[in-house]
Amino acid sequence: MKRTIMAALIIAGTAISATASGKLNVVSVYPDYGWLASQVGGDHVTVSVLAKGTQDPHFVDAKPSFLVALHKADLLLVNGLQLEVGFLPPLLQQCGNAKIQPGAPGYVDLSTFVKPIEVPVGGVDRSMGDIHPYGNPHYHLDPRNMAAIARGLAGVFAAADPSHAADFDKSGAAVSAQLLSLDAEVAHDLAPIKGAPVVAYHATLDYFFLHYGFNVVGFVEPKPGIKPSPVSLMELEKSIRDKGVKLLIVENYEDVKIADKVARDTGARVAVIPSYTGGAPDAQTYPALMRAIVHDLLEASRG
Amino acid sequence: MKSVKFIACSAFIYALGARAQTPAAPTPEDLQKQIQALQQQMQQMMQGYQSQIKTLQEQIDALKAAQSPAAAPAPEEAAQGSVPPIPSAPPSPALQNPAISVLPDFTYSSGNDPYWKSQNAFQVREVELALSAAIDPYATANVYLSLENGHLNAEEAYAMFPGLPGGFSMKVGKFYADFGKQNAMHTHMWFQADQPLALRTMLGDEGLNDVGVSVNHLLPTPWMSDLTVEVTGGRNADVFGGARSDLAYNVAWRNFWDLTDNANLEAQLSLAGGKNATGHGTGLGNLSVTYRYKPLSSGTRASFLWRTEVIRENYRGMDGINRSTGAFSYVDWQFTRGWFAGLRADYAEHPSDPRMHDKGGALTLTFFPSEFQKFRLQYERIDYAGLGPRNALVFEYGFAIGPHGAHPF
Ligand SMILES: [Zn+2]
Repeated sequence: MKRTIMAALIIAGTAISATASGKLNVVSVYPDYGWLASQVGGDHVTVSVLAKGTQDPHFVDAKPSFLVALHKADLLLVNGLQLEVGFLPPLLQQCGNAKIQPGAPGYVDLSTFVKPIEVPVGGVDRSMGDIHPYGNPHYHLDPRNMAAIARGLAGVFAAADPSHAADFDKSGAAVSAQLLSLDAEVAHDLAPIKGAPVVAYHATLDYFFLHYGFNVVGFVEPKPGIKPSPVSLMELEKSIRDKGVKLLIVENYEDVKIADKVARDTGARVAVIPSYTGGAPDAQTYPALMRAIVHDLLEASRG
Repeated sequence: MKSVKFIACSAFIYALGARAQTPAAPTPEDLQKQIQALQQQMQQMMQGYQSQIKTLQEQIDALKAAQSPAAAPAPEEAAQGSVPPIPSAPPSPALQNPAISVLPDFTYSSGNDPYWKSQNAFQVREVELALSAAIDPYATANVYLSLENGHLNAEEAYAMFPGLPGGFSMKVGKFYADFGKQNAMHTHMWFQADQPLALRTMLGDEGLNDVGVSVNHLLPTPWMSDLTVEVTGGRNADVFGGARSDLAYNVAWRNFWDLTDNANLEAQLSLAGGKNATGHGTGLGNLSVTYRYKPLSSGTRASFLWRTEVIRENYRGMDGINRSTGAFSYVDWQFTRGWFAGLRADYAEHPSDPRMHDKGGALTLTFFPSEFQKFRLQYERIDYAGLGPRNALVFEYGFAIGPHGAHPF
């Protein structure tokens, strides 16, 4: 026992001296913030991303292979608002890296840079489905939030690597400006269908809908994370007809067949969209993702 | 505003006064001139006052504008889009610290299988109480209490130190040994209603579970690989149980490969050893292989898992070494959202007499209405020691309340 601990301490000592390296090692749970981190960090950071843009962000598996990246991370960028609650805690407990544990400076909760919407008033329980108890965590689809995070990341990077603070500050401001002009472009391009009543699958696009002026009439999910039932779909189809909904928007990792059936029954059109960077071949960067969503929505409403 | 009115009034009085001072019996020409002069005076005065009033009004406007902050959020957002209101309910204690979850497990069984016959037909097999919270910035506590047949046990109770110097992580307390994958799984995570025969027969009902220390470190391999070293008190009725000072050891070497975005392979070799009740040594080995297939972008959430473990036990007793082998292999196939069909094959030699062995299998159908509850139907057929097949039909129901969402992979 004593010998084991001694051996552990000796190995520990040698391992510490081996971790010194030039660039900041940034791990982002989701690809959108990974893109942002490499834009803001430039050559001074190496970025790796855990989840894929093609997968449901709520159901990422805690694969042991993620431990390799987490083990050597200087900074971990998490979405927060409990989006990662199903897989990140056990990975953090296993990764053997004190720098990125919750409460440490390397654990960067990006939701602190934005103002969450749909924060439940008065508490929640699971009779409401798998609800997000601290507000809607899918804030990345409002480019103004991404702009705020770009500026926030510049500060985080500067604190972790003060020698390049000026570079981070400059690129943070530039990326932020780029995102705000992207926002204006998206608003302009969506103008023809602004105000349209729509039905979505999950509340993934609520920030997007609020900001760009769509009226969400309902969701295919009767409650967050709950599979639609024949009864809930009948009610949905009724409100689609009553409110003249022409557009049904489905994240491409959800059950598109259900949405297709609702569309067939009601005459609405389905837009199957990527909702995270990397979620489609034409959405490999965040601006490309936003343009792909705009394109898909316009295409579907054109018919 | 008051000062403006005052200036206007006094201007009028002054104008009247000027008129009153006019001398008596003036000529029409004089009068004409005087009137013209007065008109000019009046015009000049009025212009002056008007400009004064204008300046004052500008100042007032400026003050008003400063009072209503220009930085306030534009009402644009509320006016633009709309989304359905989110529901709310009385505050739930489940969201407070420490995180508390309760996971009861019920079974109904029938048939002539002796394992199930020794249990009540309807039973609350277990109520698991899971508690977790950060102890301080250095460690997290995980406590799993298990209420079984009226007895409350600490199934696991350990502190996890996730970030020790040098990239080590450490567990201190009571925990399941990292001996294969199945051994460490809690009842509610099993893919079938019972433990595979090999674990039950070779390691006992509680499995390898003891008090001690577990240290883990990633290996510098190009693929994911890590090593866990565990030292425990060596208390397990079936395999360990020497003198007080006879500790048990376990070393686990885990390897993981992402084959594609949708498939991965995990292989783990575990070797354990300690003294048994006879004072001699017991050696245990486990080779575990798991293949998982789960399409990332599957709306229907189809998935497939195949796991095989082979367990080897060398038990040295008073009259020599008994070498026994056990194995199980199962598949669990999610064919549509929430629905799983499974099949397990079992084989286990008796550690006390390896010439005797049990073999059989189980068929399962499991339905998860949500992540938080499950219904399972299982048919099991096992031949114990060549005495002929025994059957069991098992119905299992379990639910989880509380935030116990994150599962080890
Ligand atoms: Zn969500």
